[in-house]
Amino acid sequence: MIDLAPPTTANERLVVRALTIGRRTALGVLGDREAAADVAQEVALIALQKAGDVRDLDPWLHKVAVRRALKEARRNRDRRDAEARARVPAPDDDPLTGALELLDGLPPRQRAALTLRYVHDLPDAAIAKALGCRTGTVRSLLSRGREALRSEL
Amino acid sequence: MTLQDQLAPLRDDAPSDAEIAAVFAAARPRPRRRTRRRLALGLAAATAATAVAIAALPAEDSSDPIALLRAAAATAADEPPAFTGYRYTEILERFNDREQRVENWVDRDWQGRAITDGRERDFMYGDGPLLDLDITALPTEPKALLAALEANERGQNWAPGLPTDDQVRFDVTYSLLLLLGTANTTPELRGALWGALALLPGLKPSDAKDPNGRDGDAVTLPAPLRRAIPWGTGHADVGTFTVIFDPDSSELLSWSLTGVGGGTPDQVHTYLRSGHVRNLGDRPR
Repeated sequence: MIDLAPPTTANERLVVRALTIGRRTALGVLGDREAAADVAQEVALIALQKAGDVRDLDPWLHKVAVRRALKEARRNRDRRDAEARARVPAPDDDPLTGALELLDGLPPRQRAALTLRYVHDLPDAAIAKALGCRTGTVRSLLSRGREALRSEL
Repeated sequence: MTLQDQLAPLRDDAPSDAEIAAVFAAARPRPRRRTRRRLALGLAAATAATAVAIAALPAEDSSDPIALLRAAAATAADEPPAFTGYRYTEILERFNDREQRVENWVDRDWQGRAITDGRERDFMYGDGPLLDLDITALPTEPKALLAALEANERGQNWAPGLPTDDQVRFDVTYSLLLLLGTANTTPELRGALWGALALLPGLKPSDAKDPNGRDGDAVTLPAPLRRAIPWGTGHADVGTFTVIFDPDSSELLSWSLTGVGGGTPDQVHTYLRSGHVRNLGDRPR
């Protein structure tokens, strides 16, 4: 059973931070607003349960958000492909749709690396911690991601 | 236009009051059940707290032991890291007819204190294969971790004769359970320990109550070879490890070892409390 203190200012700040990091990360990785909201909620719930002893909150939240988003990407790859094909196109002038379309088609880990760098402004070392890999791998993911997007920029 | 500019729309507005309220609603204490909550959030709902709906989704398939262990691995890896202090465990151990209550405080170097039935001593794991293991050097990828533990078992000569494949398999399973129960590891390694358990052959789903009647996810694994079973009483060939764990925390609730043919386990380890504490002698709240 989860045993939590009632919402306090500190808890609310924690939830806001977790929702923000969770949603931005998941949007970048999944490209789906509803799925991103689900992942953000999961990240916020985990934060409420476990963040009490964390000294360095943001790196931990980034790691949890990336892991949850990549897990969701693996689990729902087929379903979301089908849903995407059936989805009514958003208006061309929606800037978020344009941003998500830019990342569409890239592998989830490349999307995660690009999101952590260009949305969260994280350096290589912090991205490596969030992804659980070496900084060399991060540089490779970013390089391949930028190369794939070159024609769009 | 730069990539930062192109992706700027992902830096959306702050979460709405409705989303924040939904998190607190989903986090309220509730009876344990095998569901997890999912926020069914339409974009229009973001402006009205009353419009936020919580829907239940099925949890991991309880009939798939690999899925259960992988879920535990993910939960363990999401735990916040602890840089100082001790992993505390209070364990009720039964070996055949002998029962003892043990409290352990273990640091990152596999050192600490233990109190067994009121007698205090240094924590000393002392069970052959794990005695000299450098926990901090273990891989955090499940396959590599399994290979490292197997190599460690084969490199040890703590029992007479060379270990057979079955004996190594038994020892690796036993070591994984001891490390999951007692060792003070990083979240990444703890996740890999659960992941390695999911790689072992012969996994089956099991009943989900521990000896204290607590709910949990449960799996069984084969425990091969008579002579590898410590404290054995003549059971033959292949016994059974039964592992019960809390899916919400990835903490072990209990594990036991039963001889061939079932019946009363030869040994049962029931984890009454576990957690991280700052100082020797502290106990989790």
